[in-house]
Order: sequence, then C-alpha cells, then structure tokens
Amino acid sequence: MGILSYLKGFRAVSIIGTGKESGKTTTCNYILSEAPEGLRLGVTSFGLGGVQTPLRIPRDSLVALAKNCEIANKLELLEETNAHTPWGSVIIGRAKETLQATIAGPLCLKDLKEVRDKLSSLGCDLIIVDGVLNKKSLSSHRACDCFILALGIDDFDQDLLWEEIQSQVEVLTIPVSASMPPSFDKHYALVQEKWIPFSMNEENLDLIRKAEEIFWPGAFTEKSLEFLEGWNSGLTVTVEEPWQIFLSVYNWRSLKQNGWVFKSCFQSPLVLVTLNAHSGSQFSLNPRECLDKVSQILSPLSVVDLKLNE
Amino acid sequence: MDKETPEKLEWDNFLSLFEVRSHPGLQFKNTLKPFLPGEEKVLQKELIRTQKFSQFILKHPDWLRSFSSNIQELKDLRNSLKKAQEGGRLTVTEIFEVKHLLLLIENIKAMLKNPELSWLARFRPKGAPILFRILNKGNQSPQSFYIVDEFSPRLKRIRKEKLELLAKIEAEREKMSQELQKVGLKPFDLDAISLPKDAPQVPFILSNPSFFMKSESRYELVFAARFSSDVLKWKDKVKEIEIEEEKEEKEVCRKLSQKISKFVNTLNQDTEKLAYLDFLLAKSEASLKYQGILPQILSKRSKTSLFMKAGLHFPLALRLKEKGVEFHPLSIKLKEGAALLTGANMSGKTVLLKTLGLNVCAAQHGLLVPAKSFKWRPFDFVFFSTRGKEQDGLSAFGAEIFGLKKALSFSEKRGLFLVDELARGTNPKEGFAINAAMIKFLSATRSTSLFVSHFDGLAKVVQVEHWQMKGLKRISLEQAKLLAKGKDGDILLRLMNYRLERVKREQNIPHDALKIALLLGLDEHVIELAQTFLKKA
Repeated sequence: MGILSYLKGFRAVSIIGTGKESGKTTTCNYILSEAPEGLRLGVTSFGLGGVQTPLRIPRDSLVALAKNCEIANKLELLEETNAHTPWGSVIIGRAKETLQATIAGPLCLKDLKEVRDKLSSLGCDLIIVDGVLNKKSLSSHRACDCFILALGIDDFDQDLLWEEIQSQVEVLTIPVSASMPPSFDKHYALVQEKWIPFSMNEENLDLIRKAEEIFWPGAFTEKSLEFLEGWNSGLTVTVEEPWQIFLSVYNWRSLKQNGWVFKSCFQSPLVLVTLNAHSGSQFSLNPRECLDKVSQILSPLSVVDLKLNE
Repeated sequence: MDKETPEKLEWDNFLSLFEVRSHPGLQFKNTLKPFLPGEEKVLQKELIRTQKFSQFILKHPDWLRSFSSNIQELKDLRNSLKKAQEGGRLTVTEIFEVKHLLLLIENIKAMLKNPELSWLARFRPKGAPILFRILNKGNQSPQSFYIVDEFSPRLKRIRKEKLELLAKIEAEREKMSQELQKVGLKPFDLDAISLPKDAPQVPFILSNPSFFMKSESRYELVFAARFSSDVLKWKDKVKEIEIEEEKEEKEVCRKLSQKISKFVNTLNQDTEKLAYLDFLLAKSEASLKYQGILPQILSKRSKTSLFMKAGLHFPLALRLKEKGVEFHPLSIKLKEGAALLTGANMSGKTVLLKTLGLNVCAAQHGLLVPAKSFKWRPFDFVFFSTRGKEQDGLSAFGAEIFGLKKALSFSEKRGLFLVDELARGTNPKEGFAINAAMIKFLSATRSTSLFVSHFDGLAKVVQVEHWQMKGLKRISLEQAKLLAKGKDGDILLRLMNYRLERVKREQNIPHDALKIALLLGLDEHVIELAQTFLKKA
C-alpha cells in the first residue's frame, strides 16, 4: 500500500477518524507494520486508543502512555512527562517486544505537544498519534505536522454521505490566510491591511461590512452565524485552525454558495484519506465502488482502502 | 496573621511571584510558616541563604538552567514509598520513578558540590547510590528502568523459551505470507484477509489448505491463515509462559520493593531538602525581580521597632506599572507603642499600612524585602484592620470591632497593629473616643501600632508619635481650581506628594478633601457651596 510514502518529510502524523468504525487504529497499525527497520517510531494516543482494534506496537518503538496502562511493565521506561490523564501521568517507554494493546494517552493539545516534543527529543523519526472518535482538533499544528483522515462509511443515505465527506474535507483543507491577526483571543476586522479588534455587538456590524476579512477567535459555530445573521454577501472568515469550524453540512454549503470564504492562520496538511467500507455484512455499498466515488469527490487527494489492498 | 489580614495585605498575590517548579516545592510553599520572636538566628541564616543564592544564580546562568531543569523533574513519591515501607509491592512504573528520583538526587548532589555553594551543605541530599546500583542492573541506561533478565535467572529462562517459540511462530507466518505474495497479496493481518468476491486471487486461496474462509458479505470474502497444530500448540505455550513471566516479574518487583523500603526515610528526607531548594530558587528568582534587600533584624535593646526606607508594595507596584503609573516608595520609622498617621484622602495612608504589613510578613517568612532598607524586630503576629466589609451577619463596624477584639486577646504578645480609620462608620464623637482609647491602650503594650485617622485633635489627646502624608499641602484651593480646569483626574496623581513627615509640633490634620474633590472633577459650584458651609461650621 505504501502509506509511509505519503509521510515523507513529516515528523508527526495524526490519524483523525470520522464515522463509525473509521479504521483509525487500523491505519496506525498499517503505518507501524510498514516501517522499515531503523526508522525510529513513536506512538501515542489522544485519549483511549486501540479499544476496538488493539494497537500493534513493534519492538523497540517508543510509546507514550498513561502509567497505569497494562503494558507499562513491558516497556523499558525512559521518561515521565507532566501530562496527566485519569489513568495516571503519561510516561514514555521502549517496547521490549511486539505488543498489542489499548493505550491511554494525553487528553489535551498542550499535553500532546509536550509528549510529541519529548518523543522527538528521544530520537523518534516518525511519531504517530492515534485519535479518539471525531477529534478533529488532532489536526492542530500543535499535535502534528500532517494528518490522515480515516473515513468510516456507515450511512445509508448515499447522497448525504458524499456531501458530508466532501464538506468535512473542504473544512479541513481551507486555505491559509496571507495575513495574521496580532493575537488569537479577540475578534479582528482587517480594514485596509490593518487588523482592528472589535467586540460582538451590533454597533460593529458596520466595521465588519467594511472589512476585507474578519478573524474569529476559538470555535466558529452555528452560534457565530447568529451574530452575523442576514449577512448575504461574501465574507471572508479566518479562524486559527480549520478544525475550529463547526458547521452543519447545510450551513457550510449555503455559506459557500453565498460567496463566503473561510481561511485559517495555521494548517497541517491532509496527506491521505483512508476508507473503511467493511463495517458489516448489512452494508449496502460495494467497497470498490465506494473507493472510486470517494476518490472522485475528493480528487486530487489520495484515497486508499486498506483492506482492499488497492 | 488572623484569617483576613493575608487577603487584605495581598499576601497570596505576593507569594504567587514565587514560582516553584515541582509538586513537592509547591507543597513546601503552601505550608510556609513565619519565623517568630526567639527564632531570630535561624531566620537570619535563612535570609542570608536567600540573598547568597540570589547572587549565585545571577552570576551562574548556566548552572541555574541546569538546576532548574533538574528540579522540575522532582515528583512526590511519598505514597509509593509508604507502600514499600508497609510491605507492599511497587509496580514497574513506581520503581522507575524511584530510580528516577535517585538519579535526580545524584545530579543535584553533584551540582551542589560547587565550592561557591558550600554554605548550602546542610541541604545537600544524601542519596542512596547503593539502591541506585541495585535498580540499575543489566545494560539499561541510568535514566531508564525495565525488569531486565539479570534480576532473576528464572525470568531469564522463561523469556528465552518464549522468544524461541515466538521466533518459530513468526517463521511459520512468514511462510504463509510468502505463499500469498506469490499471487500478489501482501496482507497486513493474516487473521483477516479481505478480498472482493471477484478478486483474481480468490480461487487460489480457496484451493489452498493453508487458508480458510472466515466470513462472507455481499461484496467480499474474509480469509484467515490455517496454522498447523504445532503452531497452535506453540501459541498456547506462549500464553502459559507469559503468565509465568508476569508472575516472576511481580516477584522481582516485590524483592526490589523490599530493598527500596530500607531507604524510605533517606528518600523522604532528600525529597524535603529538594523541595526546600526548589522554594529557595523560587524566592531567589523573585527577589531578583523586585530587587529585594536583606532585612536587618534589630536587637531587643533597639528603641526602633520597625524601619522602612523606600519600601514598595510589590503586587500593587506591578499593577500600577501596567497602567503606566509609578509606585512612590514609602519610608517610616516606628517605635514600640502606638503612632498616629494622618493625611489627605488618596495620599497613600492605607497603602503605607499595607506595605508595612506585607514587608514585615515577607521578612518573617525568610523572603527578601522590596525596599532600600528594612529593619525590624520580629513580631508574634501582624494584624491589619481596614475599612470593614459586612460579614457573618455583622455590619462593617461590627466586623471591625470583632476583628480588633480577637487581636487584642493576644495583647500580651508583641504584635504589629495596622489600623486604618477605625470606627469610621459610626458617629464621629464616639468614633473619636474609640480611636483615642485604642491608641492609649496599645501604646501601653509591647506591640507596635500605627493608626490612620481623619479625626481632628486626636493627636493632641493621645500624645503619641504623629506622622503625616504631605499630600496637597503646598497647593491652595484657589490654585487647585486653576489646575483642575480642563484636566482629568490624573492631575491629582501628579500633584499628590506621597512622602511622609513627622509632625513635631501638634497641628490639625490636613483639610484637603475639597481640593481633592475639585481635582477629581466635582462641580466648582458644589465646592463653593461646601466652602460656605465649612465657614459657618
């Protein structure tokens, strides 16, 4: 399959999953199994990883996991981090044998960054972060240099399913803004190349009207749209990172149709989409047709079905 | 200090400047106790250590960096150590933490051997190199820990057997994979080989006895490798061995825990020393930030009880700095007994009380003081009474009196009473009387008291030392009228003189309230009207 070839030049990759049985851990396991001898691997999980499918951690790779995880005594323990989880603080160890396990890792981006930095300082060439359900924040530049989207195909309404996949990918791959606000904790309007801070009250709608671009701190949600209600003409909204956009497929589509443009200040590239269309015998889609369809709607992004060997 | 005084003095704000790096360091800071009269010698040593350490870290930034990164690794292992002492078996991660602590202790011990730090010898951790050697068996690195084979010959035997079986199983798997590679398949998992029903490899796999079909869905077939009975036996054996291996690993942990239990006291004492060093570092760094000086402890024979030259209330000074305003350093000298402080509104009387209280607390906790000079005789307690808030169902006046009542119950001790406008909320006649009585009462005790008051004639009645803030003395009301025109309230900050002077011949308290109101922008007509009322009165 050659997933590793998509990761060339990157040091840390996150696997983000959407949908049921998206195959995040399977994707992780593929990467781990493909790694050639000599490539120093680091593995961790954002929360609890490998519950349905255990993570297969090759001998000699480094693992960052909560100290009360069962496999901790199968590791040569190297370092204790300041990251805390309900299963104890996160420690880093070297697998003394090939292990199959469920692991619990850091629970917030700040802790994940510390773990990632420590794995890196311990000499890992590639750090793989397995994600928990629908945690798109894992695409943050603080968590990874690039990410893989693992899609679970579990919807019977096919038209809606394709729409959803397309929107999700569009959101996660919005372009990077050419201009950066002075801070990420306030609303700003870019007027004549100057970022002007503003508060969320109606008096400022005029300022927004004049703005070439507005910066929205934190999450951009349906609630944010309430403030900008009645805004029909094209508005350019910049967020700190793409995963901070939480809009329904319907709103995303209609905003785009109305000429809205979304940008981000930072972005980790989406390098690959993996597909799991094998979630059960009740499933009505042909995995091969499914792969063709997803490849077509996400083109030019690379899409692979790990089980199809294609 | 009573319950409310630390909050009123902003003691917690001040302590937040002392940033410890470890959890034990934080615990040390949170249980910090003041040095009391009778402990002057110990306090002096502590203050000198703080000053010396500040100077040392300033001179050796590389040492500081290294020490700082080591000390932040310090963990609180008291629970694990207690478990070992009580005969419990530590887990692998707990033993790893103990080994990590031992290494940390050795690192810090080596750093403290610096000849310039010989005066810190008392706080040099002892360490347990023997225990470290016990835990550092085999070829593991000093930083890491694993139950290596060298801990137990039996474990070594078990693991060897397991590895041999795993190698045999792997060889069989490899054979199966090669079979599949012949038809262009490179499955990731031999226990779940998914293929579309129309895949060209399906007939090959179906006809190959080494594989069997596991499941079938509408579009795909899932196959799995059929291993020989030998492989299945080996797999079962591996499972059995793994149980044995785990048992033996636990036995090793039990034995190591026993060894650790013999060093628990040393490790706990060393952790305490490192926690102290963490706090010493934090206070030395903070002292450098606020340019703290070594306070001087006065002898019992000294007539002066408290002397402060150019002192700062550092948390307040920081807040003012953020607004672009400078804190005017404050100086005062107090003798045992009571003294009176008067001055215009907003001239900084309350700030002076807070500065004195905070800096006395700092000095008695072994911290350097933000001042040019600071001398004092340690107090048994500090009590700060300021404009009361309603609390516990009591009115502001009630709360104020209740606080004083509590503090006075310690009047046989040597305290510092800082009393701000006592009884301001009651009728002036009785308020005057209460103030006079309190001053008289406290001047006859061993305590040192400073009373802030606006009551005219109080100084004459109580006959105690009288200090006054210079305030707006130099400016007449007419000048104030001219200056206030078209200016905002900031003019007041520029005109106000925050210095203190001792009142030698008794005089009335300054009457600057109208000037201040004017400079703060109150309507001129109201001021004129107030003047006429004042004349009539």
